[in-house]
Amino acid sequence: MAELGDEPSRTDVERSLDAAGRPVIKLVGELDISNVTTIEAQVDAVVSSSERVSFDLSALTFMDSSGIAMLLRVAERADHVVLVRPSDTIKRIIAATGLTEVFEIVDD
Amino acid sequence: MSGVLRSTPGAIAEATAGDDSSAGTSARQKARRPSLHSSAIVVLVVGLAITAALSLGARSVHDKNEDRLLNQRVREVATVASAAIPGVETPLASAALLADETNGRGDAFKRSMARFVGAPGKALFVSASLWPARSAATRPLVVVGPEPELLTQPPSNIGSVLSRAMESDKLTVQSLLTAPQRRLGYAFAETRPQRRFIVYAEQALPKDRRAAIDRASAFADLGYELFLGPLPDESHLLASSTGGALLHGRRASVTVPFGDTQLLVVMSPHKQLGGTLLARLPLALAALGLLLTAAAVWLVERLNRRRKQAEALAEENGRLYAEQRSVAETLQHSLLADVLPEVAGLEIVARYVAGVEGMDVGGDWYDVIPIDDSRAFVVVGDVSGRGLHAATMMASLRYSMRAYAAERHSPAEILHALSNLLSVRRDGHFATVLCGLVDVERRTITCANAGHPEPLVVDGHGAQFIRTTIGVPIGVRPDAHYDEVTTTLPLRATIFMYTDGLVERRGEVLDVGLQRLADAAVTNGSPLDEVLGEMVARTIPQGSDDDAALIGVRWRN
Repeated sequence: MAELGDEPSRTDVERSLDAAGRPVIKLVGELDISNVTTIEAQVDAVVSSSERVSFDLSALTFMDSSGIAMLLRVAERADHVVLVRPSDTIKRIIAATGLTEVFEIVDD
Repeated sequence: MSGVLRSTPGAIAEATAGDDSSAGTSARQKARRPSLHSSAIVVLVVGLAITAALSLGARSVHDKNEDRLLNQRVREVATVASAAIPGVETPLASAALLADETNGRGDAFKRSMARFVGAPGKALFVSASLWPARSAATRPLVVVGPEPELLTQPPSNIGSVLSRAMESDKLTVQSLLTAPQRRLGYAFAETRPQRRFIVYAEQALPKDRRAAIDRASAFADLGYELFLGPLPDESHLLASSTGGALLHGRRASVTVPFGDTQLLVVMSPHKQLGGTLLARLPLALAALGLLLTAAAVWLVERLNRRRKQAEALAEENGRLYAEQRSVAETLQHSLLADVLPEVAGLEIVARYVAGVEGMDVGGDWYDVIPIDDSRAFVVVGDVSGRGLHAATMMASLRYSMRAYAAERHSPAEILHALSNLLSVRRDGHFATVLCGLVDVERRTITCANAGHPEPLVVDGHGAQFIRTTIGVPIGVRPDAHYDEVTTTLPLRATIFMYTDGLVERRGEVLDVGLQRLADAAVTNGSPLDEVLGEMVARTIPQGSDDDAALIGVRWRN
């Protein structure tokens, strides 16, 4: 986890819609305690009233427990959260944390 | 994190209620409010100095300009006055020459002077007369117009005029200002070796000594005084624009040769010669300067106060943060006692490694809860996020687990109960918990796992992870179900339970960190405390950003 006094980790949030018109949020960079509040505010703007939300994690290189907590909070409000193409590192964290049944993970 | 910051001020206020230093500081700041900061005073002084310098400078420029213009005008007046003198002298000189040529013939003199003599204001002179060139003479030979006013004077005065005229080449000017009719007398004698006749004429002066300048004239904007002789004395005043009251204020004077004496011209402007703009400039500059100075002082003062406020706020934030961290640390330290409960037949040692300095405390914890003579719960957990809120969540989970353990619940039942205590939606945090029930007699550990890294077991043959059924973390869903896995341990086995701070590194798959921990866990008979130290040193040699907890459990035989 990054130190609070440091500059926040760099993460970009790219928003788009999938073929069915449902929101897809692409997280690029690192998601941790230093920037999770900022990222969550941007994510919330998209998620507000959606039943299914996809996070494209193909370009997310690191996620700590604060990032997982954010995904869990989104999952509490949206009916279904899909994690698209997470890296092996993130996939392993999700598995080790017992969250494979909470998130749908899509690899293609 | 945001939840932590929002929820803490109340607690901090309570914690600092006894500290009146902050209240004293703000009271002092309030008391000091009316006074100016030193920088504002400097701006005030500099602004006033610049204003005064500009205003005085403009005033000086204005004064010099006015003086220059006035002197210029006075010189113009002098030129005009000088040009007027031949107008007086020429008729007298002509008449003197004629008298000389005609041996003082009366009719010739009358004819030559007739056109110059008349009523005051209509003609040049009011009276002209021809006198013999003798200082003892008391009567003129011929008179044109009324009798000369000179005749009202004592004989000595008459003689003085005549003798001055005889000795001088210039026009003799005689003051008759105190005579019944205020007049100037002029006497002229032909400049020949033998002077026989003196021509004398008198000019009327305004009765009230007032002679206003025509409004349309080039000198309409000036007041003037005309004195006979070099002194600005009221008894010598010939005429003035005011009729007697002496001029005051800005004045300029010049003397003009006037026959055998002088005329003193004094002038004073009625208004600003250089125009009103230049006259008002000093005042305008002063007003503008004061205005700008006031604005600058106000601005500087405002900036100063803003800066002071910002500094006070930053200081206050720093203090609050330090206190918050301190409260969280105190809470954590009180929960993570250095001395663990004794469990017969087991050696148990725990380590807590705080994250790098300056961070909020984490929500990692460990616990040992003896149940009976041969059984004890060994617990490791990790609340997501950091700070006071995470620490209080940790405290809540820890004490709940103790209560459930005391009621003889199984590990899976305890985690199930915890799953209803915490909600990531409501609390913003979730927690991973590994709950193990160690049976000393049977050499078993029964584990239930809520999303936590699995325990490591080390014996003489090496290290391996105990497989558990990993359920969802606490807080993800209520009424979560957990499975238990009971593992029988080999002789001289040591169980290590830990939090992810020990194994998780940025840019690295978790398994690499797990393997590093397994490699570091070499027991070979060393005291357990040293083993734990070695494991920490090898897994996080530079220290970790994240907090980390590690607990080791070893059978004594």
